[in-house]
This record gives sequence, C-alpha cells and structure tokens, in this order.
Amino acid sequence: MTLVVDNRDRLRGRPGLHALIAGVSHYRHLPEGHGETGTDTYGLKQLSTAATSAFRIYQWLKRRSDHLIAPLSTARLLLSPADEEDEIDESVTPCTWDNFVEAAHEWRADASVNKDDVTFFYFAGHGIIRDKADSVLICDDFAQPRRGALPNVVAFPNIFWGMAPPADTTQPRARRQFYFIDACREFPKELKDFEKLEIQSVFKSELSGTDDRVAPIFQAAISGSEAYASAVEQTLFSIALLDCLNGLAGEAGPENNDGSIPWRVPVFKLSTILDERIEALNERYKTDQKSGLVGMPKDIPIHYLDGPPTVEGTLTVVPEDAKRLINIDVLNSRQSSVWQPTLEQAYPYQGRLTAGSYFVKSTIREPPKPPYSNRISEPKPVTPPNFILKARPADD
Amino acid sequence: MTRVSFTLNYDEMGSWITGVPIEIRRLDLALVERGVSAQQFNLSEGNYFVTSLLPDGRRLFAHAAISGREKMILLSSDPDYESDSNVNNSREYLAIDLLSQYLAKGYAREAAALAQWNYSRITDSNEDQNWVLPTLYTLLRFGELRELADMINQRGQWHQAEFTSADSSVIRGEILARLGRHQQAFSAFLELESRGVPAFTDGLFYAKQRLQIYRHALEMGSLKNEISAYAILGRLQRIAAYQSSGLRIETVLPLSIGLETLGGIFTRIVERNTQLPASKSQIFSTAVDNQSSVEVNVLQGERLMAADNRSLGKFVLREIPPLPRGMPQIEVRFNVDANGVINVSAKDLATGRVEHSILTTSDLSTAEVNQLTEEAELYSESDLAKLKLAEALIRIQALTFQIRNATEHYNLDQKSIQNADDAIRLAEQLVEIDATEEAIEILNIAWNRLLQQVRRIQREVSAEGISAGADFDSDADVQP
Repeated sequence: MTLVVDNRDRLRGRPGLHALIAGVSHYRHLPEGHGETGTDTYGLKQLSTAATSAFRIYQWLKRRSDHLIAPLSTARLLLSPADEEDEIDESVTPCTWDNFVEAAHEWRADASVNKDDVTFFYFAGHGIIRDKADSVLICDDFAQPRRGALPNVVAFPNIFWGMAPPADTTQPRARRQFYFIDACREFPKELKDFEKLEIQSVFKSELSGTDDRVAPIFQAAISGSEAYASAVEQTLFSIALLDCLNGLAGEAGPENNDGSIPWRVPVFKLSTILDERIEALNERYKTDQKSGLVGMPKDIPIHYLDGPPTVEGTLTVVPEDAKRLINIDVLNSRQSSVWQPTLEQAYPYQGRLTAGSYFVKSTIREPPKPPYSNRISEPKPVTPPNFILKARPADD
Repeated sequence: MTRVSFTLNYDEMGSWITGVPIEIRRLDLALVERGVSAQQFNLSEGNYFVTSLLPDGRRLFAHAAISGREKMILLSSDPDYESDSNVNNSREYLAIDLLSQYLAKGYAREAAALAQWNYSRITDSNEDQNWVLPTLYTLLRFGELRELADMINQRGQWHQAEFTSADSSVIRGEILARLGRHQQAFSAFLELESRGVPAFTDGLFYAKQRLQIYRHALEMGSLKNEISAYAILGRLQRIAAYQSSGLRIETVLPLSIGLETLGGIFTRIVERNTQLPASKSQIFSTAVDNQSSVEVNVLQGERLMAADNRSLGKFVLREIPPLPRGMPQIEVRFNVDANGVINVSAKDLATGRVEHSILTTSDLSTAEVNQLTEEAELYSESDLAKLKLAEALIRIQALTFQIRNATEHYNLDQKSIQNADDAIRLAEQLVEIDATEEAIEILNIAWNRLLQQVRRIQREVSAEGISAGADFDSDADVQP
C-alpha cells in the first residue's frame, strides 16, 4: 500500500501537506540482490539503512503532523528494505520505477488542488549525476538486464520542474515545496563517454506559469560527492535532518498577536545547522559529506516546535584559575537559579538549558578572599544549536 | 520609538566594511528585525540582543538598552565566542567578498540579507560587475519573485554591466522564465550566442537548466521555433553543462588538455594548473602525401597516451590542398576561458581555412582530478614504455616512407633498391618481435646509404636545371 496517510476528508478546504517518501536499501538487480544481476551496475552495492531512514522521516512527519507548516494530509511511502531492516512492514510498496511513477502522479494530483498546500519529498538510496547540476535517483529495479544504460531511474530535475505551477491556472499547485535528496551525487566513470544519457521522464515537461514557488532542495551531498550512512543506524543526512527538525535548527519567530512567541524551524536556519550537524557527524564517522541548499529557497518555516527547545552547551570560567574561588549560578530571565556547576563536574562544564536569556552569577567563596569580587553578567541569549557561557568574576 | 543605528568595531573589521547582516531580538528571543547593520531601525524602548554571524564563524554581539530618540550601538566580537572562532584577517571583508564568503559557507540568510541591501544601493555609477552581478545572482537564488519582477518591470534602466554581459542575458532570461514569459526568456538566452559564456557559475547553471527545458519545448512546439535556434541551444547547453558549486568559477585548469597525434600519443597543449583564461597554439602537419583532412581529437588528462585520457570531442579540418606529407602547416589553437570552456581551432596556414569547436573540460570533482593525477604517477613507468614504443614506431614508419619514396622517385641502381627492400622487410620482422631499436638501426643504415645516392642524383639533376620535385628531411614531423 503506497498511500499510508489519508486525511484529505478531514482537511477538506484547508491547506495540507502531501508527502512522497521513498527509501531503497535493497536493489534487486545489483550484486547480492534478490533478482537477476544486471550488467551495467556501475559498481553500486546493496545499502543497509536507506529504507529505515525514509521510514523514520515518515514516522516523524506522522508524529508531528499538526506541527508542520500545514497538517499532514497525505503520505505516500515506497520502501525497499534490506533483509536486516526488519522494523519495516513487508506490506509496504517497494520503490520500483513503476511504483514511483504511479505514486508521483497521485502525489502531484493531490498537490494540485490548493495553492496553499505544501509538498514534502524525501528520497534515500543510491544516486548519481550526469552533470554537476543533476541528480538521478535510483529505484529498486535499477540495472534491470537488457533495459539499456540507465533503466529505472528518476531524473530529479524532471520532478522539480514537473511540480512547477502550471500555465493552466485552473490547477492551483502547491506553492510551498520541500525536497530532501539523501543520495550520492557522483558521476560514474562508466558514463563519461556518453554525452548525457536521456532518462525516461516521470512527468511530461511543460512550460510553467508564474513560478512563485518556495521550493528549497536540501541535498545530502554536493555535486561530485558522496552521502554516507552509519551501517547500523540511518543515513547521516537523515540523522542530522531529524535532529535539526526536532529543535537543533529551531529559533524564535516574531511575537504572535496573542503575545506568544512561536518557535519554529525555518529553511535558512535548517540549511546552516544541517551543514554543521553533518560536519559533526563527519568527525564521528570519519566521513567527508557536505550538504547543500539549492532550488528556490526562501526563509519560511517548515516545522513548529512545542516551545523553546533544550540547548546543550558549555560554561567556562574566565580566568580559569578563578573556578576554585567562586560559586557559579546560572539564572533565567526571572532571576531563578537553573544550573549550578560544581568543581566535581568535568570542566568545561557541560549543561542543558531551555532556550532563552540567562545571567551568569559569580559569587566569591570565603576564605581566603581572592582578587575578585561578585559579579552578575549581562543577559546572554541561549539559542540552538548550542550555547557558550562564561563566568567572569570582576577584578578587584 | 528610538532611531537606532549601528557602528562596527573598526579595529576588528576594517573601516571599509559598510554593513554586516544583523538580527535584533527581544530578551525573550522574539524576533524584532533583520537587516544589515548599515541600515537604521526604529525600535521601541527596551532591551535587545543584537547578533551578527560573520563567515569565519565569529559572532558580533551587543546587548542594547534602547531609550530616547536616537541611539548608536557598537557591534563587537562576542567575548563569549571569541576564543572558539577561527579569526581570519578581517580586512578581507570587502562588501562583495563578504557576500561571496557567506555563499561559500552556505549561510543563505546572511547572503540574502546582504544581497537585498546591496541591490538597494545599485546605481548607474556602480561600474564594477564584480559587485552588481553577484548581487543579482544571489537575489535569483534567494529573492522573492516580486523583487525579481521589479528588476524587469520597474527598474527603468539597467546598469551597463547588467546590460551587456552574457550574465545579464541569463539573469533577465531566468527572471522572465519565472514570470512565465517564456518566449521573451528564450530570446534572452539566445543572446548568449553573441555574448558568450556567463562568467559566473550560477549563470551557467541557470542557462543549462532553462535551455534544457526550452530545447524540449521547441521539440514539442510550445515555443516559437527560430531558425537555427535548436542548434544554438544544443551548443549552449553543452557549454553550460560545465558548472561548479561556488559563485566564481575556478581559474586554474585542473588537468592538461591537448590532442591525439600520430602513434596515439597525447600531445599536451595547455598544461594542468595553467592559469585561466589561457591561449596556446602549436603547428602540426599531415601524416601522408596529399592528405586532404585531419581529425583533431581533443583530450584531457595526465597520461602519456591518448587512449588513457578522456576525449572531450573531435572535429575535422577538410579541404587541405594536396601536398607531400609534412608540408601543410596546420595551426591548432586552444583558447580556454575562465569557465574551462575550450575554443579549439585548426587553421590551414596556407589557405586560411579554419574549423573550430567549442568544448568543455571534463565534469570532474576534485577527488576525481586527484585520482587521475595519482593514476598518471602510478602508471608513469609503463606509460613511458608505451610512449617510447609509439615514438619508435613513428620513426620506423617515417624511415620506411622515406626509403620507399626515394626508391620510387629516383633512378637508383637495382642493388640499392633491393638492399632497401631487404632492410624494410627485416625491420618489419624486428618490429613483430618488439625489437624496435634494432629495426630503427637497420632502417637508418639503409636510409643513409640511399641518401648519399639521392644527394648525388639531386646534384646532377640540379646541374641540369631540372627540379627534383621532392624534398626530404631526415626527421619526420609528428602529425595529427
């Protein structure tokens, strides 16, 4: 079953979000696949976590349905899991080319009802490029024998341009479109002798109407580079993306009319923090992945948080010698104490604070009287992705 | 309301920085304003956080208590972050460098803010394309469609730089395309035929993706077909296929380019790491008598033999007048622009006839370039052996040709002819067992013996006032 969430009736007349999510770990025509092995496989191998990554993105969308920029209206899921990805129900539709095309057309039709609708596209699996601006998404039945050089693949530009607002204004296509391409973007050596291989289109190309979309494309890998996965968890991109959506890329927006302050994850902040998070994962996994933002991005929110997120960070003492001579108290905006690092803790002090503004209070211990005096800092903002605070007792 | 303006700590950043992107928040972190520090903001009384993120990771920070009618706030490095940032030489922050650096770091919000502010300051006196065009490209990346439409509709006169460059055609074309005015956009992109290739990577990217769509639209009949437009689009699309992820295109040739010459040898014309743009030429000739055409196979790579490198394209120079081998002079010139686009021309210097082809350097990542360079080192010994063999075979071929030519054109005695034939046969047998050095030696001896006779005959003929009709060099040219 491809359509795994259907809230169209419940949301009728209201904007909704239409998701198309695909993840391919098992490739039936690659070596060690369940089908006949193809000849033009370009050295690609089976994957182990792409389907799980897509599944986790789907689970997150479902869980946060009412906190998205528009509530989840439909979700279509195509997964081709590896044998060891037993978390995924076997009844899920595999991401073959035919299934992808069918799901994509249904997805586009759902997204062509209300221009205030939103679309969400995520693909995890193998990917290649034919030139630097390209992105080719490789379906489960890629390398099918006797089917040419690049069978059963999707040219992502065809999806992107196929989702452009049509010249026919009776089809009010969704104007907010989010794309996440969690795949490698390398140029296979075997294709170098070809001018540019044509790929069967998913959507019929047509000239757009006024293209006023907000349509960011978050790419897990910049042109010519690879996207990686932790062999037992998820793709690095999906780990980073979920961390960011869950608050790492959160920020406060302008005050609402009711005086509340919305905390949301906007596109530009997501892009910046996603890069940083992947950089941190690179250090952990010894990889060199570099993500990028292309398409037609604008700085609109994609997800609203429940409130100020929790932020991790460090507190140091300046000068460091003073840490044995002072008590430290971190105060929130109401001057209530929320954190008191002690000498027993590892230094620099690691802590978690709810996003907001804080004061750092340094109080001198007695005896002996050190060459410092009590001091309370100016307010400091604590915002995602992390904070740095410093306790600075005043010089006497 | 208090009118708030900002000043930067010039000791830290250099006095020519006119503005950095800033964000103003209340102490409860509610967003109040975003913009550029050089702008003025109207704020109500209260306390605010003002922050700015520089491309090198430094944060500027101010905790500002706002009251009264006017307030000047000093933005300075955030002392809480100063020890954690990798501070570069801040004097590099010229306005356009700042924009480029934000783009390179992927700081979309900061780049967008800076570009919008830059755009508001564009006047007819801004003569530096380096300032105007990146601003417009950044707006294309991140701007609102209504802002882009304003560039076309309300901005009565564009600056000279915007008007005349290939980039301006792309920018106008892309904006018109987004407005759904495809026929006009199509015409703008066709201007590239006369204006050349965009200087900016973004320009190539937009040109490529739109031209791909318009090619298809021409096929489908949804765009008015103009004579030769289809061919122009095809060419431009191939040119635009070269693009990289930065704003500016690399200016160094990553791998050598050259052409295949006789014996399958890769003859380099422009060496790797040559600063671009670059223009180099070399004279070649024909390999056989009365050769009427030469094929120019343009290659890129670091290996010594043509077959081990990547072919970028081929073209043929025809209608070379019939002349003995080695006589025609064919100048092959490589003009490589800053985008890695190669204009290769082959010109017959006798007739002035020229053929040319526009090619793009290989679409390779840095990792692939490194790999190819490493491969060239790895295989250097075996490549050198192949090269020596190819050169030896060329030498053998040339000597054989000269000997046959001499025996056919001069009235030599039968014994000399027989000796020459024997030498050629022996050389052929030696080549079959890879004894090329020995084959050359045999042929050299045979040739030197013939040469003595030929010179004697030439002297005699010359004395009789008759031209011999053939000239011989002891060394053959390497020919395409």
